[in-house]
Amino acid sequence: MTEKTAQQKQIEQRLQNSLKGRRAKERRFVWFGRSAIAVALIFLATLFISIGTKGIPGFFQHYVTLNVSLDAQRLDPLGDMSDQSFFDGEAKKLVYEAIYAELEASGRSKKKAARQILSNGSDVRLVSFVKNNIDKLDTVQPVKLALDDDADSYLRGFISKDTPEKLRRVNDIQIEYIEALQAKGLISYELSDYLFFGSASRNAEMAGIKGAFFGSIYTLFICFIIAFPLGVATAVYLEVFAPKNKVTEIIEININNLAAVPSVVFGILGLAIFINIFGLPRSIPLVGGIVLALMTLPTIIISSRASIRAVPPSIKDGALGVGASEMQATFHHVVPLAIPGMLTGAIIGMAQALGETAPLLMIGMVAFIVDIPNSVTDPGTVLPVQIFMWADFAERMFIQKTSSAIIILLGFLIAMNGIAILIRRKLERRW
Amino acid sequence: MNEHIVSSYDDELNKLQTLIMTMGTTATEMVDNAVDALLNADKESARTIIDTDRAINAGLSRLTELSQNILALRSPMANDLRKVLSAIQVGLNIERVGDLAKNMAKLPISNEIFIEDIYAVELRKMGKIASGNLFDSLKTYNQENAEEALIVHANDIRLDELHKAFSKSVMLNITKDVENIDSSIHLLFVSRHLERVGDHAKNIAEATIYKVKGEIYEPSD
Amino acid sequence: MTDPVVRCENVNIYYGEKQAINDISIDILPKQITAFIGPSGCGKSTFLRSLNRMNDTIDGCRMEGRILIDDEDIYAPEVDVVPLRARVGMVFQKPNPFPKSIFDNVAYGPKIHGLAKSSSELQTIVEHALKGSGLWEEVKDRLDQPGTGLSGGQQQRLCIARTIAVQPEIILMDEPCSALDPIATAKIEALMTDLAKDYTIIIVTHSMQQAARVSQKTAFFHLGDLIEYGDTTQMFTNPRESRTQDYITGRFG
Repeated sequence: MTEKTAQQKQIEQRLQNSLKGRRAKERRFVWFGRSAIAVALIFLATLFISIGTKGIPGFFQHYVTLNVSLDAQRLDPLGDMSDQSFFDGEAKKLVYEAIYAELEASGRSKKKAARQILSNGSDVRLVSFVKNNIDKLDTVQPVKLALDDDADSYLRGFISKDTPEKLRRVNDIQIEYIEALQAKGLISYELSDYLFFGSASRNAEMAGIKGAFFGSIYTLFICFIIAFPLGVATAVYLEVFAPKNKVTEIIEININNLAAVPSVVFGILGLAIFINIFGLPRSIPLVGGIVLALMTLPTIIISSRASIRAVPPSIKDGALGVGASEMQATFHHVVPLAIPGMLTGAIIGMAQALGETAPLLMIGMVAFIVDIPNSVTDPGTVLPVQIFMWADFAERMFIQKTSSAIIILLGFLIAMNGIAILIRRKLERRW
Repeated sequence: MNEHIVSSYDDELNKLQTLIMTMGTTATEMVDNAVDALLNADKESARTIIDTDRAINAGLSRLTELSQNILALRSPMANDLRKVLSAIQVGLNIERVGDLAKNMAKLPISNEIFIEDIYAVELRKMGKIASGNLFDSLKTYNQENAEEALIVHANDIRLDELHKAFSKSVMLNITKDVENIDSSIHLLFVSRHLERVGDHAKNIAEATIYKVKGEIYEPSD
Repeated sequence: MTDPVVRCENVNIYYGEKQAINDISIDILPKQITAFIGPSGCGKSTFLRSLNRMNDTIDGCRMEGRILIDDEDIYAPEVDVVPLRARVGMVFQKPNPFPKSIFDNVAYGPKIHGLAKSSSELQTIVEHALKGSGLWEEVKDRLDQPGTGLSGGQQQRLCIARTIAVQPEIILMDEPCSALDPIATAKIEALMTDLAKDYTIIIVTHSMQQAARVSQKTAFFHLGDLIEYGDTTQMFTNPRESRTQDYITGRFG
């Protein structure tokens, strides 16, 4: 072709020069981004590793297997296998006799030491063993019992023999007995059934999340059935039906601001109105659910409005053009297409609510309940509050169990977010 | 050949074609009848021919209107466009043939023409060739056959030669037969007209080539 | 001389303070195709939408004057827009099938208007509508597949089927072919000519050639005024107004 003019050559030269600078800038930017992500990943890894190392041992516990005589007469004096009968019976004594026998313990202090190795709830465990193995009554059976948390801590290495005896939680006799049992191979280290199936307890080895878990489920359930329909209906009203005037504008501004209000304030609101004025009982999932619903409502409304707005107006026009009324066009066409986005927003709101502690503390949901709440009007607690309470206790096992509960809570959150993603993917495909 | 997706478009183009063929057939008959009327001194027949020319003119008006509408409303492209343009050209040529036949027919009405036998035979021959070429040109136009059109185009030379020979002969005769000088002039007139009919047939053949091939035929001679 | 099916008398349309249509009166004849042409922003789409009160969905849009369909004022306070829009159907510029199956797309209108008393009746209505829009042969074996999976031209014919399923009297089309390729456009135009045997069709188009090809009557709009309204053939061969001629010959936009 034609030769390049001097001017064209000059322009080309300038382009080349600036190109170097631009490429260098881009490279720097990319490295900035990559290193930022790397730092974040390092912190994340540190977090997970620290929680993991502390929490995973909390999923396990030490058990001792003893031969217990299942004397029916002594266990079940009334003969009807009722709770009252077992309460009157001598389950605890039978357990003690078993360990005395195993360790050949005699004398007051030695017997006391032997007793203290076992968990306080051993009698309950024995009773449930009997209930599941009625055919084995009046025989001698090996029964798995939990160790007391101090004994368990010793076995984990938290208590050292070098510490002076007065400062230790386990004395020398207990240590001797523990090691004897271990030498006999009667001690096992396995997955703790208390963590998942036990409820609140002052005894660290028996403490579990079952009560808090179900409390969380009840509370979130109430939260969802109040917040989701209300939120969706509000969003539909504001987007589709509300007239564009000052009143609507004020409502919208207030909703947007409510999303930023600290959650503690909602707790105070719940305390003042539901508990003081309406006189609802404290510490029940119903009130907790209502408070969380109020807190989650702005999030759901905002995300639902965005979902509705994302539906192309041509769909609604098409429905109107065929003679659908405003209501029909909205509910037959716009809302179904917006549902995936609404559900995703709702579940993310729920996941947030799941982790809320402050407002629930305000309304007193710190109930120390030994079993799961039977309904939404029974006192209960939730997972994050349970974690908060455990963090207060000094025993080593509580520290581990706190971390374990945190892992469980994180798992719950990941599962909820996973469900949100699944729903979105499944429903979005139809569009 | 595929039809247009919108079938009314095909209908309109077909209307155009039908109109041309109708006009052309009428004009061809007019030429034959005009020669007969002249040779037989048939005044009745001559008057009919003159009337028929009105139909040809009306046909051309209709043709113009139809073509105009197709151009305005359909924006025809490529072969469709050439169809319409060639139809207009053919229509104009047919209308001219009608006029030529009318003018020939006027002769026996107002004149007593004396025609020697040999001249009558020649005229009849020329008339047949002229109307024959016209018929053939219209046929190849309808069939969209460019090769045949080229043959029709070439055939016109024969008519030109016959006309030259005839004219020469008649002009020589004028000096001998001075009494019938006006008849002789009329004979020259008719021969000229028949030669022109042949030219129009040639034009129609060119329009056919244009319609089919998109080329304007320019023979080298 | 047939009676007009739509009569517009002194129609003025405003968007807030801005006037979009200036005092237009026009009569639309039945079972014909009438085309509205004009440069962008001349108000032809606005005017079209006023005929089935789709402008009601736009805030701040108000109409003055009278629009009568079959001698009834469609803006009278007691008129319900829902049955009106079944009588006066609309096909939009960009094909907008519902994200449902092909069957459900066509069945939606008849369902909400209660036109079918049994499911077999509904099936008949859907089949009839799809045949009427020339789509039946292509989709009869996959009625349960989503409407959005069809090609652009097929989608638009689906929208037409959806419209005719509710037995309208009038079909409004707002630049129905502007998103389609020439072959799909030609098919829709052939379909329109067919439909005009049973329905009155009013089409807004920015393509003069399309108006010339399909319509029997054409109205030329400019800056909210109706400049000329007459037979299509005359409009495109010898218009009365010089502004019309200037627009058609491309002497001004």
